[in-house]
Amino acid sequence: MDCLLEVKNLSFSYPGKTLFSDLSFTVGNRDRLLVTGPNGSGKTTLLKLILGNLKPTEGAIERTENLRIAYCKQDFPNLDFPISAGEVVRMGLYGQKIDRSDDIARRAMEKTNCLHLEKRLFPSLSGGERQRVSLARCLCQNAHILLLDEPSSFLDSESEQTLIEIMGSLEDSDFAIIAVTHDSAITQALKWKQLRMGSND
Amino acid sequence: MIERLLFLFTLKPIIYGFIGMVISGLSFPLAGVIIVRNGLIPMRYMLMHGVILGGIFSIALNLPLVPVVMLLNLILVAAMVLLNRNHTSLSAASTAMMVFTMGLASLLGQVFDVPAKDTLEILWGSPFALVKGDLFILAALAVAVTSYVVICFKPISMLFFDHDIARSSGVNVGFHNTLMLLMTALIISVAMKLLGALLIDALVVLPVLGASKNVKSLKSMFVRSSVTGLILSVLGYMTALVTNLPVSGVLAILAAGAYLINLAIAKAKAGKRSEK
Repeated sequence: MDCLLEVKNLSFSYPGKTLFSDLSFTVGNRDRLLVTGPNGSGKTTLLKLILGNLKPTEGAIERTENLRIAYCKQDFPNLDFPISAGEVVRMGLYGQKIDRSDDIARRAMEKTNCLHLEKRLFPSLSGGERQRVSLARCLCQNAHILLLDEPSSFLDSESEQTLIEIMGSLEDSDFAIIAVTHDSAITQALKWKQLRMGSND
Repeated sequence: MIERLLFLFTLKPIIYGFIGMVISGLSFPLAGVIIVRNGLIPMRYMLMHGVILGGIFSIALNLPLVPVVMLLNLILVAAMVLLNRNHTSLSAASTAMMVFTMGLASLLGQVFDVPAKDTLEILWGSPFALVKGDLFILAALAVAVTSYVVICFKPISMLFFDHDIARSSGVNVGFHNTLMLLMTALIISVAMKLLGALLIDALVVLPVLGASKNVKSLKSMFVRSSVTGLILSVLGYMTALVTNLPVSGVLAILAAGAYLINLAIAKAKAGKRSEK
């Protein structure tokens, strides 16, 4: 297994509160990891540390050279931005010098079952539709690691089932996946390796 | 009326003012889109106070106003970016810099004995006060901001959509943010001489707020804001000449009217959609 990133004795604190401490694990090619735990245990913070958007209080994250990370957010506060779903998906192609980029975007949308939403305005989509479009954007990124932050939040049970099927269909993909979730339906359906965060662990 | 206009357009200040209004009408709303989409509306208060401080410096040391104000606003933005890097929000950082600037302006005004009336006159601005050098600065800024928006449209749209996603897709978020802040600072500095601090919103922000109500893409938001800005600035300027009223006041009334019309259209459209 090629190691993509190694988390070494990682700690993160806000003033007056330690979210987690001394966390260590590695992520290799095609690894699947579910990060679970109660609200406030630092799951999303861990993803932001992996992305490099935050600096750890202690410890380090070592990334392999030229590591590309795709990130699927939990929520989109900027919902008055006039952009179509197709344009959001094509954001994933930014910086890649590739031919037939439209084909890649279309294939990604087909895989996440959102091709029919291509022309719709992203803010007008439901939570589940937005998640599928965001997943398609991540697939376009040709990333080594895909980070999913609470992909099932704001979804009804039908959309949640569709999401689980889509996540299951990514099993054969070449990239590693780290998904943060507190959704037991996802943990039970996917049976991926789990990293449980929280003060009692 | 036409004879009067033709006569007026033989006068240099009127021609310079017209050229200035055309350039700024087209390009200032592009900066307005950046201000609105990046939530930088509080920042322009800091920049306006930067103009007051720059005005005091320029009067006290007998230096040209626009370059002094531009330099000062660049320094303020740099300080704001530094504060922001240390986990202070842009809004809080700009408020802190605004208070500091106002305090310093008050002290320097006292020390250099600059009459408050002279300083406040800067806040009203006038396109007729533009000189050739100002027009060159204005044209250079217009070219810079338009080129930036055209060349970097993709990363700009990703940044406006979401900073985390832009960063994870390889966009140099820090570089683009700093560049956008600097361009905003420079445009506000020049706009101050053209329209005055109190009415900058008429040409920089209001066309964008109006255009944002009825657009389906960022591209059309940029284009419509720019076209609206051009129409408002030319119409406002000509109306002011014909009626012998201040340009900034006429322009502000027109911009507010255009905004209300856009709002009404957006409401009517929303009403039609809900009927369906």
